[in-house]
Amino acid sequence: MLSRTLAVMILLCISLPTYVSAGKEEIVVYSARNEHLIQPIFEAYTKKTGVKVKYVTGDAGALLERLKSEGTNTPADMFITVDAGNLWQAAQAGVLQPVNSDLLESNVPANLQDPENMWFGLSVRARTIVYNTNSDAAGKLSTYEDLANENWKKRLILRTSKKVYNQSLVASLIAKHGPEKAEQIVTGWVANLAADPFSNDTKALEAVAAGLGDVTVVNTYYFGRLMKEKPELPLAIFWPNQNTNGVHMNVSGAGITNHAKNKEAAIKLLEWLSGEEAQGQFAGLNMEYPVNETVSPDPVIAKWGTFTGNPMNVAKYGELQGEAIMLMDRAGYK
Amino acid sequence: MQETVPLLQVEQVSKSFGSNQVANEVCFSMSKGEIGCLLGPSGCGKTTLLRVIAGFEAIDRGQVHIGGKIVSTSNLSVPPEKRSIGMVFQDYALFPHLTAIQNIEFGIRNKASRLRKEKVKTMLDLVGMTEVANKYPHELSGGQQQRVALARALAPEPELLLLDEPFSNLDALLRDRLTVEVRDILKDLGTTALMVTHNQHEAFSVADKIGVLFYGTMQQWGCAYDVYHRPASLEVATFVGDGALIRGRVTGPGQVQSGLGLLKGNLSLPCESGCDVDLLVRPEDVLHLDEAQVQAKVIHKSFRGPNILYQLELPSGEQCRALVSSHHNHTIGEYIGIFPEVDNLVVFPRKLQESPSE
Amino acid sequence: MQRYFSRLSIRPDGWQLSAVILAGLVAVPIGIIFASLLQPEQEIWIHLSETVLTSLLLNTFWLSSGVLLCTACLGVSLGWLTGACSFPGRSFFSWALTLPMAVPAYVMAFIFIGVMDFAGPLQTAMRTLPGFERTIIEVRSTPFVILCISLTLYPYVYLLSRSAFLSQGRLLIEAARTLGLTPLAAFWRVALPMARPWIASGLTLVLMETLADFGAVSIFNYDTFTTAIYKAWFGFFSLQAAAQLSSVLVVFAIVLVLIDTMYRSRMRYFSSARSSSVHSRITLRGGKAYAATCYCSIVVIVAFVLPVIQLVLWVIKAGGAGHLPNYMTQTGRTLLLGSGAALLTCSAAIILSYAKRKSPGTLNLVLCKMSTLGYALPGTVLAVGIFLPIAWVDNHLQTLLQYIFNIQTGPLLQGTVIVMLMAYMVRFMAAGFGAVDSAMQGISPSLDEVAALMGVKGKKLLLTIHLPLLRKGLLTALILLMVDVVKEMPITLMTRPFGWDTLAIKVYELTSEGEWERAALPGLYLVMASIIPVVLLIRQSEK
Repeated sequence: MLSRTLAVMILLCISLPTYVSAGKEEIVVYSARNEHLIQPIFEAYTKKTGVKVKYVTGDAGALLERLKSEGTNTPADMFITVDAGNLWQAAQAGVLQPVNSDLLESNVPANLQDPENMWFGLSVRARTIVYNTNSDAAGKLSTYEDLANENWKKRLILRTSKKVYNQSLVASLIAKHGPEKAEQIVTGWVANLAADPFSNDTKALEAVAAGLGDVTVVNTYYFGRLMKEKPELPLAIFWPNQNTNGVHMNVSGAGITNHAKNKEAAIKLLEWLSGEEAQGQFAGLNMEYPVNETVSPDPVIAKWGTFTGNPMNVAKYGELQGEAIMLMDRAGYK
Repeated sequence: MQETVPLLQVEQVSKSFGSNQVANEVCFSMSKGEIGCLLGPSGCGKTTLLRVIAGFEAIDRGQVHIGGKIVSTSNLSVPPEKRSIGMVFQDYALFPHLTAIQNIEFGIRNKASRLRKEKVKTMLDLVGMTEVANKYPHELSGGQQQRVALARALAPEPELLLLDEPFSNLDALLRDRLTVEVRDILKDLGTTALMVTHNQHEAFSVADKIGVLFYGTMQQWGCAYDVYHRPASLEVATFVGDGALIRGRVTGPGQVQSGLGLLKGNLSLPCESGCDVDLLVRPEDVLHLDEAQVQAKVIHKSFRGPNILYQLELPSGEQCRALVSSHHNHTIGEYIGIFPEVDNLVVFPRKLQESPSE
Repeated sequence: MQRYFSRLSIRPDGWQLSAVILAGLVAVPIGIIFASLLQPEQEIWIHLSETVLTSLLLNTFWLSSGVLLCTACLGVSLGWLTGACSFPGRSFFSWALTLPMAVPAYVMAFIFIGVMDFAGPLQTAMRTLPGFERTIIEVRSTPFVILCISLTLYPYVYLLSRSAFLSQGRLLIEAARTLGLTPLAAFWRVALPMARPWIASGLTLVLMETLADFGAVSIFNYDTFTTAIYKAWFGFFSLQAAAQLSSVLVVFAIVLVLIDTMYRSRMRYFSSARSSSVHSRITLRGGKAYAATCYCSIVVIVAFVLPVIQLVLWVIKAGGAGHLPNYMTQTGRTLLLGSGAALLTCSAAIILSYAKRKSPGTLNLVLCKMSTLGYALPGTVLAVGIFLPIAWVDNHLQTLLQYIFNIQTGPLLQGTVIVMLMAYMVRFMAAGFGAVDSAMQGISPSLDEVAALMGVKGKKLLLTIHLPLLRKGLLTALILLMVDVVKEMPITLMTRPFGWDTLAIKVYELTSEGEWERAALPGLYLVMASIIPVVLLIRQSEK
């Protein structure tokens, strides 16, 4: 009985619809961007062109490791991930190949793509300050750096340093001020914390709304989502660093894998994703900003006002990510 | 005055599981220092009775007294731990996670450590287990486990020790040796003990008093001699010892005519002449003499060293057994002369349906 | 050669071979993680040890000790109440108490934080009370993390200790009572010590799960040793360092397993099968019975009813916002994977346990212990350990096929259900093996000998004698495995075929984006999916 059960199970496993080798009409995507954010767009693409898109989602680090281990035999044609740090790591690991496309160059601003064209940003995620409108924070806010000032003692709420968004933010501080100054700033932040760091932006926003602290630093789309659900919350966006280097910007983006079997088709998909047609939806699904400057953001987002973004190339964040983590560990930022 | 109070007194105890009556108006009592034994076939209710005395089972009717105190009635049951009893279980129930010494210490854990050590040492010496004191139960042989179990039960100096088929898992040789040993130990300590067994030899060699139980009814409570030689019922007569029943007719005071000829002795029942009875014939009551009047045919024989047990067919067609010195080696089918020598004629009124076949 | 085998006291037969292969399968990923030690990543180690390592280790220590203590108290007390006592509602509680197992720790964590954190409804309501306006309860703190994880893990201890108390029978308890112990004292001095192997194996599972947990602690932002592992990998992008840190966990698991083995080696705990046929319960009356019922109710309510109600409330709310996709496909896959992996792992556990029984030499003992180490590793790291060798084999296989037949096949093993099932087996062998092996040890060796005399041995012995006797143990193993697999996330994420989403993955994707309320629906489905095996099998084993 035992061996028969085993045999049946093995047969069952083999006969299950598993992996079918990628044909000509299929593009295989490894995505660290969540399924519900990419699936509608791929469906739209298939509807328009007849080209099927298959994808598997996962952690950026795990997918990258998978790409590396699969080497030349990888079925993946495209790698989508969030955060420039992850994209930079993928380029460093050598799993991406440069793409020379005029269309991409014109659609994606130069600071939101890899200098060597390994990857291109597809949506902009601004990490900005949100404050409690019942507090007196509005008049006092100025820059990210200022949040280290003693005025904000017991008033600051932050998300954990383990999230790559904060690592990139600190990386941008290092790039601008150098490590010593940056560490002073981060230490100042930690000293001003009203509570232990939260595990995600939404919880940080809710804590500010409930009055545990007065200000926090979050990606705008978390603010957008929360306000859509609970418009009554006393929260508002402040665009910091408008007189200095601009709001911290990050991207979600994609690159073509080094051993893509359907390189041409994948590049076409990438170009389409950066184009006017897809951009609105790609960014809009998650209340992010489009990278393509000809596309205007979602009306809800547009109401938050315009801002000047940090012109620094986001690839720099990836480069400094490791240093940023070490710096935050030293500063006691959990 | 004190001495007249029995240590264990079981009065009219009845107990049933559903429709199954396992104890029916059972009465008996034991004095201090006595060793009693409940004997009976499997399923006769003897273990249940032991568990009633131990306090594991409630009773439906009756009373149990231990040391003059009431411990069980139909609506009261003193918990086992408050009854000052010790118990040795059929498969010993040694705690597998404790060593022999820890098992023995278990019941006297509240004593001062010096006293405890002394007691354990005494116990180990008593049961002769000093050399295996630090072993775990699974490292001990059956006999060793039995001794440890006994030491464990005795260590707290219980008023009453209960033993549930204590020797049934041992081989015959060991059993014979241990039964004697256990009796000596119990007598040395003056412990009152009640044992349950289905093995009459065990009962004979250990007990002062034997109770024979059938279907929840106490058939007889008495000393070994009485149970063997003066059985109170047909069931006791056939269960205890190796007897055969043959038909007989009382022909006068102390005279019974049977297939073995005319027997003379004390009748166990007052019977009038002409009364039909069943007569109990033990193998040792039937003697062999070549020239004896009654010639019986050998049907079976089993060699037992000093003697041979013959299964014989009497001229009347009935069977009985005879224990004969093993020098008299007869073959099966041979006719040998026998004559009865009985002092106590154990007779039971003939049951009506078994009409004499003449 | 023959002499060599005999010195190891093994017989080189089919069983032995299967055991070696199975243990080997499990050992490869762990070996790969150990191999990382060959190239130490000093920079990251130095950085970690200079900054956060001490506090991480302390946190891990407090968390593990707290969870062990909590699960031991909860699990053993509940196991004893339902296994050895009798009180109103006992038969209901005996299965209802296993239900919290269906709630994954990460789901419990997001419910905890969602409901009880500063901005949650509980504290918000509390602040409206006079005198409490300024009160802050720090939910993201050690006691609450311990409570949260314990509530989801105590069923491991509960199930195992309950089956221990059930199998003990009444004989030894009665023996203790004739030696002057009250029922309660008999519990402490006899029943409890005798249940130690079961409790220990339950606690070993709990400890390993706690050490490997990342989901729940990350929701609390509570930094433990796994945090360092994730930081090394996803922060510093050094899989090498992550694997090195993980190997510390493996070493710890080995130590744990060794201590457990040494501790048991001298004592033998055959459950007294003969007397267990008559199992008498201690009947609780009056206040005690009331207290027992209350205690069990509180645990079931706090650990299961309230969390499920909260999930339902969130689902209703999300439904109002129009986010109610149909998760039937994912539910089906989750259950299919769960049952498949449970069967596979159980079969493997039986083979290992039987091989050990057949020739109980050092080699087989080592093989068995080795095969249970996967449990202590964070799923993600183990997933890599599994993935790397498979990718390697796959690459070479493809290259070979291309070279010989000139065909391009694409990956043959990667992303197949087989690999997934094997990965689950590696991860959860400890859960299956523990339950199967302790049941196997309860079968008296003389049964094997009796059967052998009648010419029944090998596979036939296993099928006709052992399997029927193992029924209870196997059911426990199947529940544990199925529920574990259903809840499992990182391995599924890493090894699943294209488009093969399970409920756990949906929960992960939504919670990672902070979409708590939308995650409630797949979370609820997940809980329901886990309940099916729990209820069915527990009810079956009650018969």
